[in-house]
Amino acid sequence: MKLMTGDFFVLPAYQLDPEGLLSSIPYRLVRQKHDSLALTQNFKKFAAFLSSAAIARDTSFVKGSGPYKLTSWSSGRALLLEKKKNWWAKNLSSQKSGLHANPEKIVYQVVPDNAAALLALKSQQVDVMDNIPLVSFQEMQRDPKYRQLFNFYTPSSYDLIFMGMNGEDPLLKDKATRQALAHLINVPLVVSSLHGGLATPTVGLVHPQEKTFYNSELQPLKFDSQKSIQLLTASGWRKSSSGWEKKINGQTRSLKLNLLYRAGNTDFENMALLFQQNASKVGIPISLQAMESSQINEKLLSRDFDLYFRTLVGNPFSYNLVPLLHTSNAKVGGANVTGFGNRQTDLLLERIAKEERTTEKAILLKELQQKMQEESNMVFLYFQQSKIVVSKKIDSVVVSALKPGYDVLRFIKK
Amino acid sequence: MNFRSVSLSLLKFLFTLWLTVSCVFLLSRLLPAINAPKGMQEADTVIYGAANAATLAKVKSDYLKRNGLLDPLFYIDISLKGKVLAAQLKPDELDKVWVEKAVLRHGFNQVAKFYGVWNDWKKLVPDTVHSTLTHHLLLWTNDNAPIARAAPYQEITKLLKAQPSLESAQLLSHWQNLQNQRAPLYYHLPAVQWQGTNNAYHHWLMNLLQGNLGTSTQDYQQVSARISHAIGTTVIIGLLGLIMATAVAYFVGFYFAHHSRGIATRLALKVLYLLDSIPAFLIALLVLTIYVVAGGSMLPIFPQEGSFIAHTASLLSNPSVVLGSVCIALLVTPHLTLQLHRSLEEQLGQLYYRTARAKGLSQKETLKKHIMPNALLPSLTLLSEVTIGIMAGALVIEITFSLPGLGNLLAQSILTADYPVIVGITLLLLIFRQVVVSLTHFAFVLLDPRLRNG
Repeated sequence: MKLMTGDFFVLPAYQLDPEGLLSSIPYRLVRQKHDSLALTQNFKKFAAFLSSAAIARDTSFVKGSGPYKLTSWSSGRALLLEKKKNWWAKNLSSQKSGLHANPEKIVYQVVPDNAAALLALKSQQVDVMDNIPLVSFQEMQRDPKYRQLFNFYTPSSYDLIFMGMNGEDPLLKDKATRQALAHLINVPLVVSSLHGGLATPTVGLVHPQEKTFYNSELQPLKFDSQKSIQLLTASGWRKSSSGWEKKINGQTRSLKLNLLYRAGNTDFENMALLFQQNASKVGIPISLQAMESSQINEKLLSRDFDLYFRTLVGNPFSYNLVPLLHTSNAKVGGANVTGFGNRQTDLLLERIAKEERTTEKAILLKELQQKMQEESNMVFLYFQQSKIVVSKKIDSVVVSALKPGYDVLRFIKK
Repeated sequence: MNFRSVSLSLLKFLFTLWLTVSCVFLLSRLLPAINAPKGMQEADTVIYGAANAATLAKVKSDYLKRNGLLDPLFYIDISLKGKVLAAQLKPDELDKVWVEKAVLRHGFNQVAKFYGVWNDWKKLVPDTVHSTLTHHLLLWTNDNAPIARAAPYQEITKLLKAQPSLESAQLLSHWQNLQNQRAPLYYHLPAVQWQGTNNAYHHWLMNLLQGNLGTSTQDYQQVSARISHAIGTTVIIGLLGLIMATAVAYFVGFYFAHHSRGIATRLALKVLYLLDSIPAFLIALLVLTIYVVAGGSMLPIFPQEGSFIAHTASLLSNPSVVLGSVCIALLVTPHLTLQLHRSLEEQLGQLYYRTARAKGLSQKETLKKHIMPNALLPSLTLLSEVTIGIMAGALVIEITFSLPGLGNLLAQSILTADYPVIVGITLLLLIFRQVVVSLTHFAFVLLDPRLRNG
């Protein structure tokens, strides 16, 4: 993975931290104690200052230490950035410093409608476009006219699609049941049919291209109905005429689950239908519920769900997974919505958050990935790949897994 | 049309406006996302940055207090008399549910004694005992049938008997006494309580009257500022489109009435029917495609900041704005023209037309002087309906041409779940609709002498 100019924001302290609050606190303390720091008066005042409208929009405030200044912002239409005349790194060699600033002017054009945006791209009125719908992307790739005009890139991103299960629900409390459900997802089929092969399957929440931290010894998820049936039987479920049944807390419960996903997301809808099909072949009725995202949030935070599909946004720089996976955050209202974890995994997470040495961290992360696969509260499916089209008039294109996916500052227009 | 009828209509209008505004307030309180700050909504989808559960709870309660979401909803609060009495005991958040239910079932005095001992008892026993007993009390609360309540009742009695302390014995005796008491029936009657002016509705209404619609959760700007930046574009494309459509409808309708048997008329009618059935997004995309294929540029033009006239002039010279107005005209013209045509045809069948022709007036003169005024009156209602409906068309067109208008703002705020802006725009559109309907009604009364005298 190549780092791009602008991966780390360098901001002018005189502008955004005029009282020098952050310079008085060591970075390690900020990383490890940010919860308690956030509740202090100083930080609350700082947060209020940063949350003002002016900082978000006023061109005299929107300043960074980078090579460009925001000249004009036509809300909802376009942003114009122009190169600064006396940038501090102007005379540094870009090869050595990695600080590039090739374009004189950059215009970001906002086109809310996909069809209109593709029209602009195809008529060569824009040079770069990302987030292209799969069908249009594939069509353009196949068309010789567009192959002559454009280059097509599919860098991997850190957006991870996973299925979550409610580990506190009596039906799903036993991990064998969760593993059984995990074997009903056909990841290779989803990747090939829904994404045209443009997705990277994974065993855990570390990206496969992070070779140091990725646990390549773990077996990827395999679609296996027989294994699923074996696991259900081992967990105590018995097949009857009305489906799978088990005695839980003295009552006979049948295995019927609901699956939540964000309405309007066709990928999730199709995956949900495939999963429902596979589950019905094994005798598990799944009812699908497409919901608006804030409704899903409410249901997840109040633990009123069985299964759900969601996107997890990650990055390769920080592995502080305590808020997401620690048992202290498994209460209602906490971010550990699947109820994952035990004392062992808690200790593991705390060690990972503090560990600065790479080799030790790699061992811990690989152990975490293995434990997560065993527990199957969160079944990780694949990392999405961005679809970027760049005009052949642009030279020196570098794509990366980090947003936006391309390094605009290296571009040279021929 | 006298002073009395005008003032009655005005009162009716104001009352309907107030009712609309109050309904929007209720809807805004029902939104799922107002109970937590925006960044906290998707805490489980990011690998970095989220805080632990205790901090999240603290931030959330700060947010609720700051935004007045813990205030009473309205000036008056209607609840059961029993619950009002239970509130006198000042129970904790956790205990409130079962204390209220206990008072409703067994009366205030006995529950007061029980709760008094409970507060002392819970400090002395271990947390596990306290939470188990609370859990059983909640189960006892949920089961409304006395038979179903027996099981949790037994559990609680058993648990208290197992505790050795004096306070537990006291609590047990109060618990057993409780079951023998029945609350008087009047506890279930409604009680009205005055909450004063420190309530959410009052604050909201006062803010609204001062033009404060809240702050956008997307970029912290005032909602009124965002709306006022966006409304200019929508008004321009809407107005231009409407003027073009009305002019075309008038002249084409006139032509159709004058040459009702001509081939051109019949062909044009078929084209209009076809255009009426094409959906808005398709029309917008077609126009955009034709424009781009013909060599038009989609590059953004940064509008001139400065005086209102300079700003408006730069907007009008923007090709996207012109195209947008043309699209709106294309959306609206078929409906207007076809209705006017039908109205004219109906008038042409009336006897007074034949009288006018018999008296020697030409068809053109008759159409202009007598038929048109009568045919235009129903078109006035249509015009008001179309003006309101232009908003829907404007949304699609603004998205396609990426015009920063009200429709685009609404679509963006729905996608980014920016609820204050959504509520603000909904309110604006509802008020706009009411104003247009009232103005149409008023214009009708002015233009039609038959309505003026009742």
